[in-house]
Amino acid sequence: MSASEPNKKKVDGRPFTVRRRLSRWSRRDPWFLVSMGLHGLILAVLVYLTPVRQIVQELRQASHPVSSMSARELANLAETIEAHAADQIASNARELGTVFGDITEIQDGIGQKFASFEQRQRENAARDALQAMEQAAEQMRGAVKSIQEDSDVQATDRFQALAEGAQERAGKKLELVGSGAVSLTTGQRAAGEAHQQAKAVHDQRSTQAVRVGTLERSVATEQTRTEQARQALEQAKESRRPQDQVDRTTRLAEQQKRFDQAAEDLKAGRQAQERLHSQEAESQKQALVAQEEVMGALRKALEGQSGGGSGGSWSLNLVAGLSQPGAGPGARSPAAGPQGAGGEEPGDVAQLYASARALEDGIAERFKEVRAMDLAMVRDMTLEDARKDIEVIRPVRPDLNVELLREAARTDEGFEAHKEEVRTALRETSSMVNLAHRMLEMATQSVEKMKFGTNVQLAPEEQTPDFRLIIRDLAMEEVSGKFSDLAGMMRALEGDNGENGEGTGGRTGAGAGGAGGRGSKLDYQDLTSQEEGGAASLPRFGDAGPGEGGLMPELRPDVPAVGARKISPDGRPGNWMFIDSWYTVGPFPNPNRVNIDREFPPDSLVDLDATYVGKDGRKVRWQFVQSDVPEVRPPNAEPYGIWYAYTEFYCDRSRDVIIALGTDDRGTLKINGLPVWISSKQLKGWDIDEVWRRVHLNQGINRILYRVENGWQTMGFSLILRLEET
Amino acid sequence: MRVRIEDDENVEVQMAPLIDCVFLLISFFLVATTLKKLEKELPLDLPQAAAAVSKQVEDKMTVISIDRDGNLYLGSEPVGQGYLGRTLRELAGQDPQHRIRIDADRDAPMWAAVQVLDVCNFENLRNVGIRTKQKEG
Repeated sequence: MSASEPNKKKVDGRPFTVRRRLSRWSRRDPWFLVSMGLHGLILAVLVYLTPVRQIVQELRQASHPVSSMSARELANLAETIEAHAADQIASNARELGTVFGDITEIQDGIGQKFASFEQRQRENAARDALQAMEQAAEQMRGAVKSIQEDSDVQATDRFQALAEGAQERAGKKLELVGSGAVSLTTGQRAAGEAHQQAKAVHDQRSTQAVRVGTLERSVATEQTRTEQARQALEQAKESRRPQDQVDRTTRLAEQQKRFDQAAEDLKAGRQAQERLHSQEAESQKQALVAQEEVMGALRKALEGQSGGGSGGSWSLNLVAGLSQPGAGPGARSPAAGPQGAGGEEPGDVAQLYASARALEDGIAERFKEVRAMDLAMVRDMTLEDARKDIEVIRPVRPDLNVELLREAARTDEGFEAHKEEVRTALRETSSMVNLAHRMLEMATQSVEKMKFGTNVQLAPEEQTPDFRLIIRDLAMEEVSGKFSDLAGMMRALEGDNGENGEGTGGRTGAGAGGAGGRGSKLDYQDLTSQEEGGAASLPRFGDAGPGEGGLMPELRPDVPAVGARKISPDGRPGNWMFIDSWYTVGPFPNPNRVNIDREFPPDSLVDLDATYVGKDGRKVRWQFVQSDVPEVRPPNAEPYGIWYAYTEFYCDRSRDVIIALGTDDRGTLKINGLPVWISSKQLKGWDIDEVWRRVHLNQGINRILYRVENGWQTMGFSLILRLEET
Repeated sequence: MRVRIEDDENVEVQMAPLIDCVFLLISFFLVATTLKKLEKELPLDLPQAAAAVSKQVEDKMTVISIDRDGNLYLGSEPVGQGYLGRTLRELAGQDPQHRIRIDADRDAPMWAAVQVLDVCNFENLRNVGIRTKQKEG
C-alpha cells in the first residue's frame, strides 16, 4: 500500500477502482449497465420535458447573448417564426375578408332602404321647407315681440337662434326640391341675410347696453367724487385757509368737468342705444316680412300644384337629381373588394399585412357609408352633407419595415428586430379584426334602428314616429330649453328594440320600465304627446326632495356629491353623485369652428385601444382621468380643439334619473348611443347645472360619451346624477 | 484446494435500489416543478414596503404590470386599456374572487395604477393586491 493511497484495498494485488468494480459487476450481471443506461435516459427525458431545460437555456442566453446561435440557425428560426405568424395573419386577413363581405351586403341592403327614404324626403321637401319657414317666422315674431317689450337680451337671442336654425333647414329642403325652386331658394337666402342683419343689430344693441351700463357706473363714481370735492371745499372755507380754498375750488371745477363729460357720454350712449333698439326692431320686422314673402310664394305654389295647376312662375321638380346612395366614395361592388378579400392570398408577412390594412380601409369606408345614411336620416339632411360630417374610422397603424422582414436575420440584433416586426404585424392584424367586428356590429345595429326607409310602404296612419328624431329634438338645448324629459322615449326605444328581439350591444335588462314592457304594444301617439306636454309636465323638486321647491334645484359647484360610476345597493348613500372616472381623447382639429358638426371616429365607435390623428397631425390616444370634483378636465386641455370623454356607468336595475350637465365650451352627451344633450353653438363657460335632463338608464352597463368643444382658455365638463328618484 | 474468496462478500450497500431511490426523488422534484407555471416577469423596479406580507404565488392569478411610462401589460404581453377592461370583465364573469396582482414600477405614474384599480373595482374584482419588495433591515 503506497503512502499516497492509504485507503485503497488491493484485489489480486491490484488497487481497487470504480472501473474495476463496474467491470466486475458487468461480468457478473450485464443487465446492470442496461439498467443504468435506461435510468440515465429517463432522467434526460424528464429534464427535457420540464422547465429545467428552459431555465438552462435562458441562463445560457443571458450569459452568452451573441454567440447562442449560428447565423444559419438564426435565419432558419426567423423563417420558422415568420411562417407561423404568416399563417395567423392570413387567418386574420381571411376574417377581415369575411367581415368586408358582410358589411358590403349591409351597405347594399341599407342603400336600397335609404333610396326609399331619400325619395320620400324629396317628395316632401317642399312641404318640409314650408313647415321650417313657418317655424322661422314664428320665432321671428317672438323676437320682434321680445325686442318691442324690451325683454331680457337672452330671450331675444334664443328666438333668433331658433329662427336661424329653422331658416337653415328650410334652405336645405328647398335645395332638395331641385331646379324648379331657384327663385324660392334665392328668396329664402335673402330672408336669411335679412335675419342675420337683424341679429347683427341686436348684437350691437347688446354691446351698447353693456357700454351704457359701464357709463352709468362711471357717472355714479364721478358724481360721488364731485360731492366729495364739494365737501372738501366747504371744510376749507370753514377752516379759513385761503390757499386750501383756491386749490380745492380748482379741484372741484376739474371734477365737475369730468362729471359733465361722463354725463354727456352717458347721454350719447343712451341715445345710441335707443337708435339701435328702434333699428333692431325694424330690421327684425324686415326679416320677418322677407320670410313671410317666401313662405307665401311657396304656399301658393304648393296649393297650385295640389290643384293640378302650374303653381305660379315655377314648378316643383320632385324627381330631379336623385342621388344614388351606393355611389359614395367608398362604394364598390362586393366582388371588387380590396386585394386579398377572398382571392389569392400573398404569403409574405409584409404583403399579408398590407392586404389586411387595405381590407380594414375598405371596411371603414363601408362603415362610414352606413353611418352617413344613418346620420342623414337622423338629422334629416342630404347624404352628401352627412358624408362630409363623418370621418372614416382609421386608427393609426404602424408601417412595417419590409426590407428588414425580407432580409435573412443573421445576427441576434437582426433576429430580434425581425421578430418584433412580425409581432407588430400579428398584434395589429388582431386589432384590425376586433375593430372590424365592432364596426360590423354597429352597422347591423344601424340597420335595425332605421325605420324611415322600411315604413314607406305603410299607410300613413300605420306609420310610427322615429323615436331617434324625437329624442334628438328633445336633446337640443335650443329646442327643448334647460330641462327635457327623455326617459319615456328612451324606454320606448329600448322596449321597441327588445320587442323585435334585437340586441343593442351592451344593453342588458328589459329596460321597459313603466312604458310598456317587452311584448306590449306601445302607444306611440300618447307617448309623443306626453313628451310634448311642455312645462306643466316638468318635475318639481328641490333640496327638500321631489315635489318641493322650484322646477329645478339650485346646484352649487361645491355640492356634496359622491364621485363614482356605479349605482348599487351596497354603495355609499347620498342625494347627488358625479361621474368621476373618464377616458378622454383629443384634441381633434377645429380651426375657426369648422368642425363643430363633424363626427370624428369616437362618435361612431369607441375603441379605447385606438390611436387617431388629431389636431396638427398629432397622434392622440385615450387617457384615463379621475377627478375628485364634479368638473372634469382632460389632462391635455388646450385652446381650440374637440375632445371626447367616455365612461361606462353601472346600474343595479333599470331606472329613470335626473341629471345635471355642464360643459366649457359647447357640449354634446350621448347615453347608450342616444343624444341626451346638444348644447347651443355659443362659446360659454362651465356651469354645474347648465341643463337638466331626465333620462333612462338600463340595468347593467350604460355607455356614456361626451363631446366637448373648447374655444379658448379653459375647458371642462360634468355629469351629476340625482339619486333620489322622481 | 484453492478457495476463491470474493472480496465483496463483505456487507455493503446495495447500489441498485439506492440509485432507484435517487432517481425517484429526482423524478418527483422535476415533475413537481412542471406544476408551477413559469412566470415571465418584466424588469420592474418595485416599491419597497416594510409591512409587506409574503404570499404564495397562486397558480390561477392574473398579473397586471405597469412600467415607468404607464404602459400596461397582462403577464408579459403589452395590452391596451380597452383589451384589459374586456379581459377583466371576462375574468369577473367567471370568478369574482379571481386573484389580481398589480406589479407597478416605483416610477410608474399614479394615474395608471388608479386606472387599473378603478377598472378592477368597476368589474367587482375585489381580490386585488399590489406587489412590493420587502424592505431590507
